[in-house]
Amino acid sequence: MNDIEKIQKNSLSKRGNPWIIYILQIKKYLSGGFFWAVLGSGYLFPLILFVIYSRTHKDLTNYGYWEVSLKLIFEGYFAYYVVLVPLVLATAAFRDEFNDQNIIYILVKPIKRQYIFAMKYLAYLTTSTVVTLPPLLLTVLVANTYSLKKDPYFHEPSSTVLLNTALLVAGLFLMLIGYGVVFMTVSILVKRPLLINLILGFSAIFEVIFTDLINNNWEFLYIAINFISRYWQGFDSLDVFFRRQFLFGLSAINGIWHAIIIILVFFAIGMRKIPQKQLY
Amino acid sequence: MFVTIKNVSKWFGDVIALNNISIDLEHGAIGLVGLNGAGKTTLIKILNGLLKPTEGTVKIYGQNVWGNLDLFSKIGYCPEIDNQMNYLTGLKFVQYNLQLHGYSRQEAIRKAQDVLERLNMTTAMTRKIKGYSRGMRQRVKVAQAIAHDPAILLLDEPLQGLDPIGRYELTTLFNELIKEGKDLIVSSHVLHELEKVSQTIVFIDHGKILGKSNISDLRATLKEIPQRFLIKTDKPVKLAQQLLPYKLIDDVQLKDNEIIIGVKNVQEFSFKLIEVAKETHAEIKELRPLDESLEAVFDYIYRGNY
Repeated sequence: MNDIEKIQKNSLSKRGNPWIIYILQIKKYLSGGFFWAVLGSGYLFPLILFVIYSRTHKDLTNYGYWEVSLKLIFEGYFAYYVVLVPLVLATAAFRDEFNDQNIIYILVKPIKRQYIFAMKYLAYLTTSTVVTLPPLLLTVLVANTYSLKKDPYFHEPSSTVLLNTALLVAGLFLMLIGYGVVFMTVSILVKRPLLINLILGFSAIFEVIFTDLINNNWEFLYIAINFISRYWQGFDSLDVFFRRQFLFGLSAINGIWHAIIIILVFFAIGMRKIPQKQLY
Repeated sequence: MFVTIKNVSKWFGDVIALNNISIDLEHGAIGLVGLNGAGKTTLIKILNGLLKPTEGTVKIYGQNVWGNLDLFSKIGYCPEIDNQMNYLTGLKFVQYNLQLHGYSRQEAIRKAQDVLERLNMTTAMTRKIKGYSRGMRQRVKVAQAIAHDPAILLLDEPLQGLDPIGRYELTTLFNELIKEGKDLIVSSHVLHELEKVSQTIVFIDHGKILGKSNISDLRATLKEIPQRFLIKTDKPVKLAQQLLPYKLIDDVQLKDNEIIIGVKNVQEFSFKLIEVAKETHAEIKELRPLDESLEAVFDYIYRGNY
């Protein structure tokens, strides 16, 4: 068989099915013990809120405590949990496979490398949504169900509650999309992405902790509020999101624009870099 | 030529993995042989598009390799890595690899079952890979490489970690694939493994091609290279004294009940050993070669070439 015949053989040069990359990534996530730990820890937020309610609901003088608890729970969820989930899942999507070299089996297939990035990203989005959305909705449900008499935020007409919930979900997606693309792109660009992503993800928190260390001031609520309001996910704090100005002077809408620009830039970098990636 | 490599160098930072190599490879089975770190894996990774040469060009069937999806669909690659998608069963692993090559789900399942049966993995194919032995993992890797019926097979240390039966089965399979008209490039650091599957051997060391030889020439050359054997016997001194005068013996070392002996012509030596053992009434408890690695061959080539 000569060269031409060899080339013609299988000349219907098949293109691979990129959705398999999506399936494999989901299966890989599900197979990791760490995934289940992250999944389970999300449900601590509604659980803690329920416990706080059960300990305070009989005493109306605890209203202030309940309000602060509510705020802490939601801000903890957004400031820590919704950063942690992309940090774990998006960083791992490429880092783990580059480390154990299993990415070889995908890179040598007749599939455009941009699809590899896109499919892994989609798998991350699906998984992170499944991980983070139910705990958020459950927390809202617990807050809404148990705080009607106590909390002015949720003690509103159901249409407002629905709108606020929709805004929370939109904010969640914006964070998942944004952090995911940043962390995933970084994991293609550098050898130790987890450390860099950790700093990127929690930089505002580190900054505030550092400032607080200097000032000998440890106010965790302050840390959380600062973090969530100084980042670009479209929130200030829970009761005023999309209404107030960011600390940097950005309106919420501008914050969203900034987020979209960051998402597009990092997505473009990821899509451009993955075809050049070599596996040593 | 099915592979043309011209002035290819590959640098990893300050380290040079391939140093300006040029070689043309004919159709058939090529053995790529070299010590660990010689540059075999780097060359194979360049051939399947995982690495881009820092300098030079690599062509397969006249086409550039880097980013060539048409070529990727014709290549089957068995990597050296030992851990592969441990969360899947062997069947799913091969099935997904086929789907990544563009096969439909049903077709992929059927082909995966066929190829795993061909590799004697019928009973194990539905078990998770993480529970497989080293030999089973090696078979599954080979299965995913050949399942899509590629024209070229790049096999990086495919026989590593296999028991003798496994080695025999895989070498038989590789010979069948060669008969089917496939082009094979097989790397190994154990020369005699490649002898059984390759028509041409390419020697590589420190990122350089030392030479290319067809297997019959190499066999003739190997006869001249002293090979070391270990003999365990109840009368080591007597046996060594009797063997020493013969010309085919290069050197003899005694240690407890063992003799380490360097011989030039293995076949002639084995006849002579039986003869001497009979004469001295020595019992040969064990006889095994010590030079499985290529060091002896490389020493010889270096001495001859430089």
